[in-house]
Amino acid sequence: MLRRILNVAWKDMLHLWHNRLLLVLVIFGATSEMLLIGWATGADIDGLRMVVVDNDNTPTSQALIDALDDTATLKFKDEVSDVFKEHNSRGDALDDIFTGGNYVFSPDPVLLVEIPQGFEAGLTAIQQPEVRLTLNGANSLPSTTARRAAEATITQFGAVIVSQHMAQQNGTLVPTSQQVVSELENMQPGITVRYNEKLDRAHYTAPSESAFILYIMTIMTAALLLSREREYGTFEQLLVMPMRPLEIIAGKSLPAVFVGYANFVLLLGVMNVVFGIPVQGSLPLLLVLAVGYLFVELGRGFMVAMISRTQNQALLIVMLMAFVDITFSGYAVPVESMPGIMQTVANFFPIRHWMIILRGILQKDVGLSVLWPQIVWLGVLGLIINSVTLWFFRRSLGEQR
Amino acid sequence: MTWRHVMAIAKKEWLHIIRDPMTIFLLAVGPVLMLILVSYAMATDVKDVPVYVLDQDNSQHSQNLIARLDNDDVLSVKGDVTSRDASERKMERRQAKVIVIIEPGFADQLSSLAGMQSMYDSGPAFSFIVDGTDPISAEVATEAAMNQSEAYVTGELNTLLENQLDAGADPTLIRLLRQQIESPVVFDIENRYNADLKAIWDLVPALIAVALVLPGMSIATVIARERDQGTLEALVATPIHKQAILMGKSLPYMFTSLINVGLMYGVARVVFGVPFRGNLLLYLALSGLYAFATLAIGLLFSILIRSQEAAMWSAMLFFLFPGILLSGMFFPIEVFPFMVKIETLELPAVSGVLINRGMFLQGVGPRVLWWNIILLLFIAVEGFEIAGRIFKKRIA
Amino acid sequence: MMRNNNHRDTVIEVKGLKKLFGSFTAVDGVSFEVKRGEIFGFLGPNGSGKTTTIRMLLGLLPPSEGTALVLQHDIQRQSRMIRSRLGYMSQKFTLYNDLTVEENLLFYGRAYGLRNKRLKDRIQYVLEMADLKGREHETPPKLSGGWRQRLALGAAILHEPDIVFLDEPTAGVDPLSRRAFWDLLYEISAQGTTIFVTTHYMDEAEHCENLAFIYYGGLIAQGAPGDIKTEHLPGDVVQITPVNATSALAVLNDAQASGMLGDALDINLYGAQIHILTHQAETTRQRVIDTLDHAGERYSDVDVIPPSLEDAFIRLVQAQH
Repeated sequence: MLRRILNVAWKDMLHLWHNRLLLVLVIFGATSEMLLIGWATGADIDGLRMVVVDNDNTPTSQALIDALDDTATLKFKDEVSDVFKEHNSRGDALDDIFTGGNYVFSPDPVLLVEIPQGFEAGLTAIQQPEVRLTLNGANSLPSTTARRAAEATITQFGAVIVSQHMAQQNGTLVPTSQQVVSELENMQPGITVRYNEKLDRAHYTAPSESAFILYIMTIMTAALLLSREREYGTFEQLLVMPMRPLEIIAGKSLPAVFVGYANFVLLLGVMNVVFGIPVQGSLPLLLVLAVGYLFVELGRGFMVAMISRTQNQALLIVMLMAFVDITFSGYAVPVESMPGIMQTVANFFPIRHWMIILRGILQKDVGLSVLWPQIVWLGVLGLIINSVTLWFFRRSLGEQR
Repeated sequence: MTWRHVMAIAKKEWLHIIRDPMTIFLLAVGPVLMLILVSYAMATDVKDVPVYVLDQDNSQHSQNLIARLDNDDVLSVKGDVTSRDASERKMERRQAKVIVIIEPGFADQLSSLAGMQSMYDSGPAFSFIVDGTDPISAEVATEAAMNQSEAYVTGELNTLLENQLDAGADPTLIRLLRQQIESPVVFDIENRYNADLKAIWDLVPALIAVALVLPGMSIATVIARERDQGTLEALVATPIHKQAILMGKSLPYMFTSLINVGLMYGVARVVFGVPFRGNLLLYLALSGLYAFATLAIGLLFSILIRSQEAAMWSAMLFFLFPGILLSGMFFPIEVFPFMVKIETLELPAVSGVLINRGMFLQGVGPRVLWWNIILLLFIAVEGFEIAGRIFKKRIA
Repeated sequence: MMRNNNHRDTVIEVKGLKKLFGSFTAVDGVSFEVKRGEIFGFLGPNGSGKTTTIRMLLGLLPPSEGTALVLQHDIQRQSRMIRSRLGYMSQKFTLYNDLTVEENLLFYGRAYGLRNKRLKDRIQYVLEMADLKGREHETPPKLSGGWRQRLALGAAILHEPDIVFLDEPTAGVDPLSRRAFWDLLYEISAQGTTIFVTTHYMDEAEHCENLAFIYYGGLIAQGAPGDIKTEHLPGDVVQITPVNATSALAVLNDAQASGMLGDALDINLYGAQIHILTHQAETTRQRVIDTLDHAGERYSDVDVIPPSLEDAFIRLVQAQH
């Protein structure tokens, strides 16, 4: 039995080996992709363009603009009072400000800060002057980031001005802005961030992307290895051979596992070396569980092949599945935030559990005692998926046309 | 190149598609299904982040603070822990993403001027531990926790000062203390284009663009497929111009793309209530252009790469990951490193996302979108032209 | 124990085999037997149910009705037990195009349980047989049609099966290669392998020991080629090679209608020639010559030839309508 499995595996490895372009794509395509995407999406959301209307025009308002520009998140682009004068309605002026740039050379501003007339006077009189923030809602993520940074900076700036002014009036020692800031910070509750102390986005995106790549590589290889035989008519030859369905499936699994696993190990290396994300937990455990996860996804890959008649169909189905899987993996929106029924549905996606295992071992140094529910889930899902696939496969033996 | 020839090829290609109900289903309905499912799952912003509390103060104030945190949409208090070790385990098991630790003496800090002074000297008697594995939800949760606790503390201190003033404390001192708790400025926040800053409003238009990569990927295999089946030579032997063959091959995919745009537009408006502020005719025209550019790149893969499998893999590596992750749908492209930005210029999806968001949310027209239009035109025309040239050289 | 010195044992025994696809009857209750070591020809036009029958015999398709024993095993329930003793070369070219000749053979051999020296020997044998020595490292698309055909046959008999099923093995191959291919089949058959071959080339059918004609799903004749001919073609054939076949045919048809051609049973156009089936060949030949001369039709030859299978088949088919 093993010999027959290995024979099928050997043949399918030859397919990869003979198509060098395919081999290179399958092994290194994903890694180079991850470098590019990880580099791009792992970066902090910094340098967001900000425009200002300074109705106060005092040293204080100027200093505020400088303070905003000094943050990493925001970058001062323009003073836009003139734009408001050119347009009759506020809406037109905002459209003029927020659109028409291009993201490569002059990105659209995401934030407009309007400093009211009498800002300086209001601050020192402790009258809480009102600063107007207008966000470009066409892209909510950077807008939110910009708003958060602006609020924090303006509040801090105001506190410094107020404290210094009060001290002057009361004839006490005027504190430096650092002193005020540290006093303010002292007033804040302590915040400890665990597992990713600097809230580095690359530590989040790179492992997620590695999970996607592992998943898609495995599922695609499995789906295509089988559907190509169906499309070229060689599948029938396999079926008349004295092999059990299980043996054919197992033989075809090995190259897919090899491809997926090679990618996974490469990606672990890239994460460690390029993105500086070491494995905090047990590396052997991670490597073993990865094999288990691969076998679960393999079943789905073969299922795709069984229900599709051409490679083109297989590809389309894999694409659709990938979109859905990425959604339910909790990557873009945490699963806890999804509607209740979706949270339940998410449990039926193997990648969700793999994501938890990967993060747990990679970043939290947790072991089996914590991850066992995920492992049980994967085990059960794997059993179901692979049984259904095998059933499909057996059934199709009688229905080859 | 004559129109008759183009249509002859298009008809044949169309037959391939419709003889194959699975493919027609995947091409026509797949993107719409994807849009509905993905959007529904992501229809919410970060909320219900699980919170556990280690309350060592056990006072009315600490109870109030916890209730206040629980009231916030973003946070959801799930229960108590009794030790830091226990909180650690909750976090490891992902049962808690935020731990609130309230130290003994929290109530005292809010109950007397001396307590208030101690808060200024040594900080408030509560703190947060946040799971940073997902930085975005961590930031959102932290912000919510900070805002709620600050509002509570400020409110309580204000009441305290009020009471002290009534009890005959020195008004100057009270004024000074009040100045310390109150924010020096207030904010008036307006969200242009998306008043409640709903993530779904900018996600759905972006998804419409991204979903159209499916026909693009599908076309990436058509030439390789004809080559595999041996029908390519017969096709080339006909008097049909090479460019007409390519054009004819893309028309049915173009057609399914446009059907998709129509369906997805309806879903966006009706199911997700996304406003559409642009010119609908212009939108249709630009969607067509975008679909054309995507197909041009798919076709280029089809011609450049000889085997069906390799064509598929490269199309997937090109369309799927960068198509989703670098398109600007999730991540703001303006903050990418400059070289990556240049790289993204070749992705039609980037312009597609910008056009969709611009026309849905911002209601902009050609005056703003001109450079995206030029980019797409360039990709479409150049893609076809290069594809045609290579096709001629390789086959004829 | 089953072996009988006088009568070869039966390796395929089909009784009332039927296959329905929805309301369409692809195979309609066929029965036949195949003896060990023979070349059994399964004839019929395209779409008559040949491939469906083969697929049922291989256990790829469950029959709707009837039974079939292959090597004494029920194909439906025990197909896996006999698979290693069967070989199959399907209509499509079924070797892997991106694998080399040698790799293809290695895969097939191992799949049927060959290994070590036996595998090596058999591959050598097949390479020699198919005349592919020295081309082991080329891929099938680089080979010409005839070579590819022989390679596919080689892959199907690599494991020395008891029976090899060949589904239209020579479709689309030039006459010379077809000839060479049939020489190979004789060689394989001589080694004791039963060959079950479908074809629609009548000249190939003449090479078979036994034949079954299938037409619209039903068997219309079976037996040895000679028996089929004598049974269904009582008489000889007069072959005319006219200058203008159409007008000559019209003349002859008129003549037969008015009884001028004696006992001519049947007149058919065969490409550029006309065949007339008759009991009294010489008389008919003379009458044909007279008739054509009288009508002023020109011709190059009028010969008496032995009837071919094609004549028989056409007659059988005409009898169906």
